[in-house]
This record gives sequence, structure tokens and C-alpha cells, in this order.
Amino acid sequence: MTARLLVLAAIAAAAAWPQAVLTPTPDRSTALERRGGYTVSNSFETGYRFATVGGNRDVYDSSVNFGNGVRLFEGELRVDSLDGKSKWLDEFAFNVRGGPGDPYQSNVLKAAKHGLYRYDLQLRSSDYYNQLPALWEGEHGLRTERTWQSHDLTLLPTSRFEILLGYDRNLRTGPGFFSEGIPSSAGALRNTNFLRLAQDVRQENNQYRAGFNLRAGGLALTATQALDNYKDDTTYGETPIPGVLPNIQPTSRLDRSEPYHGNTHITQVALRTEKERWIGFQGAFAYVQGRRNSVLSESVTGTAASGASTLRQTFVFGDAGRTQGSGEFTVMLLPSPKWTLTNTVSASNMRIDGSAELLEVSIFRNQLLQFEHLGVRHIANATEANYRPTDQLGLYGAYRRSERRVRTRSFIPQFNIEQSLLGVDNSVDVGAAGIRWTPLREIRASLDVEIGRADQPLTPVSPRKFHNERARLSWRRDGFSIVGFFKNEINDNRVELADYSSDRRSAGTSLFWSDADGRVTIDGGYSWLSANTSAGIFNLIDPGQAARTIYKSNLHTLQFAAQLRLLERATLYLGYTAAKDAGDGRDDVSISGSLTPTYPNYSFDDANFFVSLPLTYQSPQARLSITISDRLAWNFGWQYYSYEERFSGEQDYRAHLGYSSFRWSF
Amino acid sequence: MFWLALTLAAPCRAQSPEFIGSGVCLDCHTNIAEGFNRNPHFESMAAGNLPPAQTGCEGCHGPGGAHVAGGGDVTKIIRFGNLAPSAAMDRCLTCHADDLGKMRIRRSSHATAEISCVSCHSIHKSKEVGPLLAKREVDLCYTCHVEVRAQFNLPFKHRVNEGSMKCSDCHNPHGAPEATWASAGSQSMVKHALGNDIACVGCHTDKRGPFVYEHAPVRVEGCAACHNPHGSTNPRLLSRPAAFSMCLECHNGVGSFGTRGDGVPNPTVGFHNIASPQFQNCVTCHSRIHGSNADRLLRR
Repeated sequence: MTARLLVLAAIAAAAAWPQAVLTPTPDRSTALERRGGYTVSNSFETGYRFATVGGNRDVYDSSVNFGNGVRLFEGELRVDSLDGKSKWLDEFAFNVRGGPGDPYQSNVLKAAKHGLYRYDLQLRSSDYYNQLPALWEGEHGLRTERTWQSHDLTLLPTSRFEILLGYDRNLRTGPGFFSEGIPSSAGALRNTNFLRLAQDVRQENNQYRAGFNLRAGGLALTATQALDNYKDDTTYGETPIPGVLPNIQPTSRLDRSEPYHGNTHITQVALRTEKERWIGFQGAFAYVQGRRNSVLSESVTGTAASGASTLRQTFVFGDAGRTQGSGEFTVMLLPSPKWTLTNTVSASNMRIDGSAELLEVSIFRNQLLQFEHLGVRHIANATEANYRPTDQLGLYGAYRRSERRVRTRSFIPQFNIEQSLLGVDNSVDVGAAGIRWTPLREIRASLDVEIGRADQPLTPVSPRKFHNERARLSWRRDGFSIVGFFKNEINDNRVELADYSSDRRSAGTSLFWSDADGRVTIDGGYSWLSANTSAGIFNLIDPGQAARTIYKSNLHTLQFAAQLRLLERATLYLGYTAAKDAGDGRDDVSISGSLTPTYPNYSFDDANFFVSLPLTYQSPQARLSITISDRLAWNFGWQYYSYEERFSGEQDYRAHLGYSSFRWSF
Repeated sequence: MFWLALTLAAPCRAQSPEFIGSGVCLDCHTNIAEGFNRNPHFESMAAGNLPPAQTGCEGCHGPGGAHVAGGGDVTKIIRFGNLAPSAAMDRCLTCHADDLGKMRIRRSSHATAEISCVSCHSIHKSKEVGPLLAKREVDLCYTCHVEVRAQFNLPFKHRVNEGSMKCSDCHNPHGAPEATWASAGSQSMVKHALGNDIACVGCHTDKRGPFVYEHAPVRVEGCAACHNPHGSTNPRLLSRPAAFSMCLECHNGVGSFGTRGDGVPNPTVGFHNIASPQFQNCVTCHSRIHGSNADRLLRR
């Protein structure tokens, strides 16, 4: 076997980009060798990452979660046939990031023999350490790991008849932590309390699919059938109860299992014209039928409301099914290069039916049959037009209308009421228009306006009378670009006491500059987001008095990066990212209310909740890369994280991350 | 190089007078030939069974006879940098119009904004495996979507910057089907999972249901009714820093809202002691907030 270098550049410095995460080093070799009948390129970066964390480690783990250890930051291998006519393998590519130990990993593999097969694999994982939403001391407890696998095999690719096979696997495992309320029917336990449960999470999803692509008679048809199987075999147990937390239901023994299994059958068909003519059409249809069965078996020994020790045994079993059919049909007209006209009709109909039977043994005995029905039907039509009177000017217009019907029916066991089937209709009309202007090849400007009306929104925060405006301006040329944008989103949903209005305004810019030979590159960006929401809420203290919740956020984000190629062998990268929410401008958590807020991110003045979470999150970083040879580079980097809430220090953390690595290309 | 040149030159045979075959192009454009066997477009060239108008250099750039005869006259060949966005898209769709993932491209937000294929794809200088993107996918999207880049710099976010997710896991930049979970607004080209469900449940399988007791907004309006999926100051990516206030914005009992038009149920007065920390966070008890199989009030 002979090896010959086809292309070899010095280890090339990628353009500076404000990286949120310092690793992997984006610089990589462009070395490309010929070996036998193939071209080969290979590089990997491995090293050691170290982390020191101060403050609230739990919040750090929820937000960043990098730890110490040897890591494969990135690896890449590509093998490609020179003539595209090898016997079994014309193309092979493998990319890995975040090798063993990192909380975020990604592996992508592709293998293909032209005209015979193509195989794509994605294997990814993410470790979660989520903050518990249910407990008020900022406890964190879900340490679950999610892994995804996706396999796609195409036989006879690019032929008139392609066979499509696939398999996906989605697995979530690990220890968890959970809380839940105690239903009022369970008189054995205090229903003003809640239970704390430890979890051993095991949720598994497997999908198998097969289909084909057929091109014939000027049409292309794709049809697939999939079977999706879901299994949740999470088990629960009691957790130690710290004495400082009120309202926890004391339990001396808790056992629970709650299997939840089911299959979903998915049929998809898509038909479209194979070549674009002055008229074309596309249609797609999906029919999904899923059912899941569940059982909950629980035994709790605890303290009853009377103070006496008691046993509550609960057994719930039931099933739920969802059937959803959806389809769309588009007619597209291209009468001239100046015009693009499309009209799309879409419809979706979903119905969910569930029923459960509950048996509870405690100081009370209940046996109830419960059922619930939810149906959602959607019909929409969208007409869109693009007109380009000149190469410099484009106009866009659209009108969209949708009609939705939501129907429900249920049985309320507490009151022994069986609700009638009732539907609520909502129609939404939206008009949109836009201008795209390219006065010079390097300069683009666009302005879009959208106005909509809904007559029966689902919730007080849903869109009712809304309008959005968006403007964007960019100037790009070799080695330089500047982009600016402005967005304005207003929604007004005023009905009776539930007045709701929100406005979100955002603006920002980004700038990139690089000198002619790429020795210096600078990239930066700033954006501002202002969100104001005022909503009428139910006053839990004095129901006769109106109350509101007022949410304010003034979020400023900044990114900056500079990359300097020092001498011929060293590259210095400096970066900084920051997010600062100024909130509603308060310096103190309390306003004037008599009620001391437990959460630092809202205050109460007897009638109104003022919600904001002023904080600062920033991360400066630096990296030095030394090119040792054409094939070897040494990198050393440091990144600092700081999270700081203005009203409370309990969640704050600071962390230093460093790494040293070698990137080797061979 | 010899084999490569031989392969690229193959379409020279049986060509129309205007088409000269890719082999002639390579005499001058040697930098493009180097490593072109790694380009997805190489596959059709290697097959050698397509006429020059449908493969090789002239498949995209048009017949090169006049260009060569003119001594490399750049006005006699199609150059994508000089094409209007719609014209560039027309060229690409000559072959790609029937791709399943691109069948909606003409009405995608990108196309209607006159963003063409070559705004994102670099046919000859791509550094990425696969779809010939001009940059790493996330960096490419951030180039224009400055506000999204800012959202992913918030303390809590999906792990896109970290590399375990990509923008295209949830979005199809070539256009997505009409959303089945929302009404006629802009849909941000969100993909469907499982045929006609929102993209989120493709990964969050435990939220997918069906449940005996559904939380209706999840099904009727989608996950974004409560969540900011790109990034948030809330660890659960909620659109408010505190769940409590967010829940009460809907659950106020008034108006003609809700699935039955008689208001979204409000919390029971007296029982929900707002002074108690437990009741200041609704999901302490209503923890099955996405749906439950055992309790109508989503408590277990």
C-alpha cells in the first residue's frame, strides 16, 4: 500500500466564533492522503479536562456539568473511494465528540457503497442533573442519562426504487427524585401534604420502520410504516425526609411500581412531482394510532390526618389511546421566474380516549370508573406569494386561516358528574407581508409584518389580537459581515377580569471581521430582549379582589471572540459570553406586601405578583494552540463560569474549567 | 489523481455540442478536483450513466462550451454567486425537487425570505460531512439568527452548543409540514415527530402520552405554551422564572377560555394557602403536569 499526500495544509485555524463551550478546539488539519484506492483523513483531539466548582454545585451540574477526567474531545475519520467504484465501501465517515466521561456525547457514522447501500448512525447521550421544580430550596435530583440511537439503512440509494429501513432507540435511565400531591379521596393521609419519592428511572423507546421511495411517471412517492414501542418501568420508593421541610407526608414505608407500556403505529405517505414545472403539487398524509396501558400499585404506611398510623393501598389500572390523522396538499405555481405562488390545505384530527379504574383501601374504600375524552380538529389554509419585480427587490404576502375545534367529555368522580360532549371552536386569521431588498450584492434588508386575530383562544395567554414586526439588515463581504435585527411581538388578550397583554421586543447585532490572510479574526454580538407581561390572576387570599401577575425581563446578552495567529505556530483565542437579566429594576426582593415571598424571583403587594429574576451569567475563556508539526498541535485552554442571582446567593456558583489536549492528524 | 481525472472525464462521451464534460473543466479548475471524491455530488459522476446536463460540473453550472471557447470567460457560465436567490434555488431544485425533506422548500420561511441554498451550503468548500454546509451547523444558523444565539447563551438550554444536539433535530430548514398543534401563525419550520406530533416528543418520550388525563394545552397548543425551548433562566426552560405565576396566568377561572369555554379552572380557595411554600410551586403536588394516568388533577 502506498500513501501519498494529496493535500496538506498547516493545521488551519478556524475563524473565531464565540464558543459557548471551549472544547473541542475547532482548528483541524486539512491533511488528505491517498491510500490504495481511497483518500483518508483522520484527526483526533484528546486530553485532560479539570474543573473546580465553588458555590452551589447542583446548579452548576444543571447548567454546565463538565467534570474532571481524560476526554476524547473530538475524533474524525473519513475514507472515500477515489473512483466511486469500490466493491463494498465508497464512503466512510465517523465523528465523535465528548468521548467517555463527558456528560454530552455525540457519535455520527456514515458508510455507503454508491448505488447499493447507505447507512447512517447517530449515537448521542446527555446526562441530566435537573433542578427539581417541586421543592423550594433549590434541590436538584434528577441525575438521569438519556441516550439516543438512530440507524437508517437505504438500499439502492439514488435509484428509482429505494428501500428505507430504520431503527431508533431512546433510553432514559438513572436515579431520580420526585414529589406528588395526595389526592383528597385518600383520607388516610393528609391531603395538604405531599409525598417525596425516590425514582429509579427506566424509560425505553424503540422504533422500527420500513418503507420505500419510488420515482415513476414524473412523480415521487415515499411510504413508510413504523412501529413505536414505549416502556416505562420506573420504580419508586420513599426518600429520607429532612426535618426542615414542612408539609411532607411522614411515611414509615412506601412501595410503588407504575409500569406504563404501549405501541404506536405510524403510517406516512408523501407524494410530489419529481421535477419542477410551472405547476407542481405535493401531498402528505400521516395516520398514527397509539395505545398505552398503565398500572399503578402503591402501598403507603403513614400518619393519617387524625394523627394515627394508617395504611393506604392504591391500585389504578387503565389505558389511553390516541388516533391522529393529518394531511396536507399544496399546489405550487411558478408562472415566471418573478413569481412563486403556493396554496396549502391541511387538516388534522386527533382524538384521545382514556379510562382508568381506581381501587383504594384505607380508612375509606373507593371504587371509581373514570374516563376522559379530548378531541382536537384542525383545518387550515395558507396562500403565499413571492413576487420579484427586479433582482434587487422581492415582495412577500400571505394569508393564513385555521379553524380548530376542541371537544372534551369526562366523568368527575368527586361530584359523580358525567359531562356532556362539548366543543369549542377557534378560528385564526393571519395576514403577513414582507419586503426583501438587496440594493447591492453584499447588502440585504428585509422587513416582515404579521397581524392576526383569533376569536376563541384556548387560554388567557394564547394569541388573540397579535402583531409581529421583524426587520433585518446585513452587510457581508469577504472577511467582514455585520447583521442587525429588530423584532416586536405584541399580543393582547383582554377578556373580562383576565386581561392579558404581552409585548416582547428584541434587537441585536453581530459583527465579524477577519484580515486578508486570516491572522486576526474578531467576532462579536449583542442582543437585547425585553419581555413584559401583565395577566389577571385569581386572588387566592381575597377572591373578591382582582389580582395580577406582572412579569418583566430585560435580558442583555453579549458574545465576543478574537483569534490571533501569533508567529506561525501559535494561535491565541479569547472569548467572552454574558447574559444579564436586569429584571424589573428592583434592587430588593420585597416590594410592599405583607407576605414574605419564599421564592426570591417574585414579590407580592397584597394583590399583585411582581415576577422577575435578575441575574448575571458570564463566561470568559482563553485558549492557546501551538502547532508542533503539520500533524500535531497542543492546546491549552481555560474557561470560567459565574452564575449570580441578584436577590439570593443560594443558587450562585463559580467554576474554573481548564483543559490541555493534543490534536493529532494522521 | 489519474483515476479521479479519468472518472470526471467520463461524461465527455456522447455529449451535446455545448457540453464539454467535466474533464475539460478540471484542466483549469484543479483545486476543485482535489478531494472532490468526498463530495456527495461525486456519486452521480462516478456512476457515469448520466448525461452531462444532469451531472458533473455542467449539471450545476450549465454547458461550458462557450466558457472554454471564450478563454474562461466568466460571463459565459453560470456562477452561483451572481444568481438571484430564487434563480440559485431553481438550479439546485433541478435535481433536488423530489427529495422528501425538501418538498416544502418553496414555502419555507427561508425561501419566502429569499434565502437561497448557497446561503448555507458551500458546494466546493464544505468542511462538514454530509450536506455540504458552509460551517458547522450551529454556527451557520447563528450567523443570521442572532437572537437564537443569545437564547442559547442563557444559563439553562438544550445542549446544542455542547454538541449533543443540532438545530436540525427540531427544525427542517427546508420547510416543515403544517403544525398539527398550533394555529395559523409562523411555525418556525418545526419538524414533526412520529408522523404528526411535535418535535419535542421525539426525544421526550415520557411526555408523549397518550394519557388518560391529558393537560390539554400540551395537545392543543404545543410545548411552547409553557416552555422556551432554546434557553431560559428557568432550569425547566419555562417561559417564566417561577412556575407558580405561569400557571396562574391561565388558571384564573374567568372568561370563555378552556376546552369547554367556561374558563380554565382556578385553584380552590382556602385549601391552596398561598403563604405556604408548598402552594407557591404548583408542581410540588401537580407533578404529572404533562399528563397522568391515575389522577384527573395531574397529581400522580
